[in-house]
Amino acid sequence: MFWSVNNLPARGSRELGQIGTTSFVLSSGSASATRSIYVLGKEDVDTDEYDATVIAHEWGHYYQSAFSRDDSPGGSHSTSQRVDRRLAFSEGWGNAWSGIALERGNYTDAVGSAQAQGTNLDLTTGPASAPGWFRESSVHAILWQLNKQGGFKAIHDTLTGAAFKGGVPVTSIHPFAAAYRGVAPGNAALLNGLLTGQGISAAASDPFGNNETNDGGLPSIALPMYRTATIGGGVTTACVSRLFGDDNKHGSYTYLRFSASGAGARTFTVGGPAGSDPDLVVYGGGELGASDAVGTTETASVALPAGEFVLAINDFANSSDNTCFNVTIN
Amino acid sequence: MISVPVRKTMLAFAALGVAAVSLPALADGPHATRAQVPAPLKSSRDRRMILAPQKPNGSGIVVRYRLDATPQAGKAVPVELSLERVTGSDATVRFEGGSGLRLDVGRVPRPLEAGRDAALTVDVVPDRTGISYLHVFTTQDGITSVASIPVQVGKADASLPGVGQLKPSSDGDKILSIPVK
Repeated sequence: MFWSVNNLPARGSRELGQIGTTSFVLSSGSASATRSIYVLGKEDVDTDEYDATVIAHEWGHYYQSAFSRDDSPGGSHSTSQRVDRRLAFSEGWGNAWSGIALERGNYTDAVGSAQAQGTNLDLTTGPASAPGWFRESSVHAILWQLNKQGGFKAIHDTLTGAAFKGGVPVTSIHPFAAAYRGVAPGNAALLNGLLTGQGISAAASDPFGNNETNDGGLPSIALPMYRTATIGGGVTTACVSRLFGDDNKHGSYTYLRFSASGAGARTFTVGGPAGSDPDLVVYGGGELGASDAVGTTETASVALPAGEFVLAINDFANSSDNTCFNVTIN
Repeated sequence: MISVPVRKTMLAFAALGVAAVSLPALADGPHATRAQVPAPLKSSRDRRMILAPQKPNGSGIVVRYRLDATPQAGKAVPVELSLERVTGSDATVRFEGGSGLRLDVGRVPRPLEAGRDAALTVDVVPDRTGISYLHVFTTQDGITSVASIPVQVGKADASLPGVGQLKPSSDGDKILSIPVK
């Protein structure tokens, strides 16, 4: 935990207190991962040391990282935004956990002169409009209510169980819901009602969200939630968008799933239009590899065992509202 | 919030029992981590603007900034600002100068027009060598956030705070106290 009266919301050197904002940081080293929480402390600007919900939120990220699985790309976000599915789940969980841990229904964060301004966020409900799997407040409302009405054990068992931690889909509300039904079948009706209330598919046994119909305003990009690619099967087209913002927003990533019948090196090639800069991440029960070279074509070779995997692709340049990539796996 | 992870510009493989990899990009040598570089805007006018930190569950207004001149003590330097994702009818921006920084604007909140990005220039005058901050408070939908923009006069201080000693507490926890700088 790193806190100082000099920690303020500026980019730059952490040693000078320029920590960006209060955040959880996972640093991967050669020996082991290091998990840290940085906390703002600049009086009359932004202090968080007395904002218990903010601290609990960051501890929620620690919990998910250390005891569960978190594929979130991180980065800037807001409850008013539509964001990537992994980010929505991670931040929604953090919000919900702050309420669960502190036994309260709101999230507060003081800023400004005398710490008299800030945020008061209702954890018990989702967004006033456009709810869905791409909204962190939809996720926090579901998890907060699930704890209130169904207890925490089932949530904990789901987050730490093999189905969610080791599943093929990236971490989001759909694989959580599928795993939760397996852990607590008696709470399925409760969960389904909460999902439906937030505009999220309540189809049973659907960790990939194949039955999802809420595209969040990106009909040709966001659905299906995973496109199918075939090793040696030619080109798959997948598109991303910056319509809802850059880097980690709804539409920033596109997801492909593919199967490998045997172990071997697989070569991924993602070609984009001029001005784009595709990057990729390969998942199989967690992140297995990533490549983020500069240019309109990304090529990476990854040795994979037999099994099913997910390929996530984004445009680092955030070049347009409809950037399409040609993807091959060989 | 989770900080954007540091990532090499080439393949970086988690262990997870899966053997990897060929490293075609190694021929270029290691690169600086791109994730640490603020994303540029698309237009040429804003190309060098820096994305300010955004508080989770904050106002949602995106702040980008740029200093076109090298700050000098006693001289005004313009800070160019772009405020994006303004959606609320109550959206405002307000500026404050931290210790060592004078502003040419008052502390009264300025209204922002919903649905439009705002381009503003704030002249700031640092009164000494060292680092000071322009604090940009944005409010939207009743929620206020702040981003601090560093204004550095002279060479940045690269020295680190002295490292304290690891001390056991009465209940067995070990605490590393780092002196405030």
